[in-house]
Amino acid sequence: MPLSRKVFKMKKLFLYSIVLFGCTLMSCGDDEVPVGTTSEVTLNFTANYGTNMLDSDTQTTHDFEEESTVRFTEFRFFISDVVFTTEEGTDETALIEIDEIDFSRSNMDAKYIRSVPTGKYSGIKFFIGVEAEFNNTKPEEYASEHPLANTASYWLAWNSYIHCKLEGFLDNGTANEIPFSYHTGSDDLLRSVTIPYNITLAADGSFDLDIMVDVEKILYKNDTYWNIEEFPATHNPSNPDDLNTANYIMDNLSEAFKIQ
Amino acid sequence: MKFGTSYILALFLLLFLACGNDDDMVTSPVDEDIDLSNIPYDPQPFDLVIPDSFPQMEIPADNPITVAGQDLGRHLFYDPVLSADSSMSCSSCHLQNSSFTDNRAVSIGIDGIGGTRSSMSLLNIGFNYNGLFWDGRSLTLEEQALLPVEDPIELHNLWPDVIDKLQASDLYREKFRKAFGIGLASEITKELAVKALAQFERSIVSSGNSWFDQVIYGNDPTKQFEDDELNGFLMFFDQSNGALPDAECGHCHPAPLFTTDEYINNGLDPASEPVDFLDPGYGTVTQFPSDFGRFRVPTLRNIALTAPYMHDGRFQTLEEVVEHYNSGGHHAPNIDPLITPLELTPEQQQDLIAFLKTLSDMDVVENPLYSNPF
Repeated sequence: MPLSRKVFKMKKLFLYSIVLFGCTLMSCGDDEVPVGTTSEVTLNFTANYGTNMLDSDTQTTHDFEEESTVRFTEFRFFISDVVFTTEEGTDETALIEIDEIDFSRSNMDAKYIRSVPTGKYSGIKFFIGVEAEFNNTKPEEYASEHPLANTASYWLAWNSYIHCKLEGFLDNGTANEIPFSYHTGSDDLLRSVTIPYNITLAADGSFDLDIMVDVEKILYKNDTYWNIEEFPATHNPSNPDDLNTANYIMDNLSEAFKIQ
Repeated sequence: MKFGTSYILALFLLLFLACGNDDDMVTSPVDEDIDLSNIPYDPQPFDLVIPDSFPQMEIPADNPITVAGQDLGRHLFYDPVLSADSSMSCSSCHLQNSSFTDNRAVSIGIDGIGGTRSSMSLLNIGFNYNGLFWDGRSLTLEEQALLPVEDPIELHNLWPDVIDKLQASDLYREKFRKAFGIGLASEITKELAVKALAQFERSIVSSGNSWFDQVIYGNDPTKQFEDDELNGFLMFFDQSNGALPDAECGHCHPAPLFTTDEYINNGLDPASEPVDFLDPGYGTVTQFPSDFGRFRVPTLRNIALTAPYMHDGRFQTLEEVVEHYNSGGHHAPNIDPLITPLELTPEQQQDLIAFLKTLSDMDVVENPLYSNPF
């Protein structure tokens, strides 16, 4: 190859390099996250009853006390202010503002994919229910796609969103199944959940976090099952029995989560 | 001669290919088409008045409600041109003075054949985003409006025949031009027709003047429920602090729309298995076993005007409806757990009915914007 042509080719290569470098600089504008500072996190909520998958759609029955069984027709609850925590406890990384998780159709309903800054986290924290800031609002204030727009999840008697709905039937061998419907609402019944878990997010990596809620733990505490037959519903906040039941349900629910 | 034959064959082949299976092909010759561009097209937004207590209505971006679009939809809604024998229109099964139902157990089509389900109210239908019909088989009003025209037990027509008539009509040429700005009569399509019908249906909104609305949302302390209405209200929403039974109504019929638009089994028929339901309802659409025998929760606004009740019109009166819920219904694996015996006294049942009557909105059934324009 003649020298002049070689020189021309090198000049061309140099020019291309400049253009390429310029393009790279331009693509790192203020609006974009620099490559390598985030990791993709998948949060997946599932529901079990003990060691079995909860499947309210197929009318599956689960063992309850003695010879009786329960089956669930509806299980849904709100989560709000979901964050990753750090050991220092000062810096929280927001993941989900608010959503309603609904296991009425299938065991694996809620999957969230988030881009999270890399680093070390000490666990996950969230509220079960609708935080007061939102609980003072009403469904008609939201667009239909918003999780708070669902009128079926708002209850006038509580003047509140329904933090959790657990409905189904108890079969204790008598002629008819006994229906139960636990609806909990009001600011006092909001519960906080913190699950310690060491999480290290590497640059450009991905991380799956499976959070399982055990429905049996909602109805079982201190070696005793909840007396569904005597307390089958919680609809009226001014009724002491209803309020006691609602507290029982929410306390147990807040302790029923674990990372798998 | 040989060249001539080949030429003709090639021409024939080209013509054959050009006449492929193209549904969008305009069949009317261009020279018979009517130019509509001399008719003014000046779309103005329809003033949709929604009570303050209601949510905002979400209207599809590709079908905003205009004055001319709502007017066209109203004409189509009341015009028997949509049926094969020009004997029935949408309004035949959705009468304004019956809050857009037909007061029959099941609707009857042009051939005198009864359907299997009762006509649903169109009041506030624009706020529904969870499926239409009793079984949720259509997701949008535009999609829904396509079906009754060709349903053999309803208007039993064919859309091409309807469109031919609309394209030939001076009235509709002008109204389609004003509603959608089309330039030619041949541009009148079924897609535009159902858009107009949907605009009209979305315009049918409660006035906010029912007695319930005046008492609860009216901010006028002089307006109070009568004793029986108040008792009914307290039982309906379980607000009596235990002084009265919980009638469990408000779970599925919450204010302000008095429906969740969810699909439930309210215990109308006994069933051991999903296949036992004579009408599978929502299960037909989803194919989930536990959805069989479920139906969409209807609004209770104007419920006193929409007898008979339930998807098959089995109950003639509100008394029968309340008695059904008071009994706890019939057991089935997927019956809603809230359908339990209520133990309401006869007087309490009457109180509940008195409250239901406070939801009557006579302004909406007399509003000329929704009335027959012919």
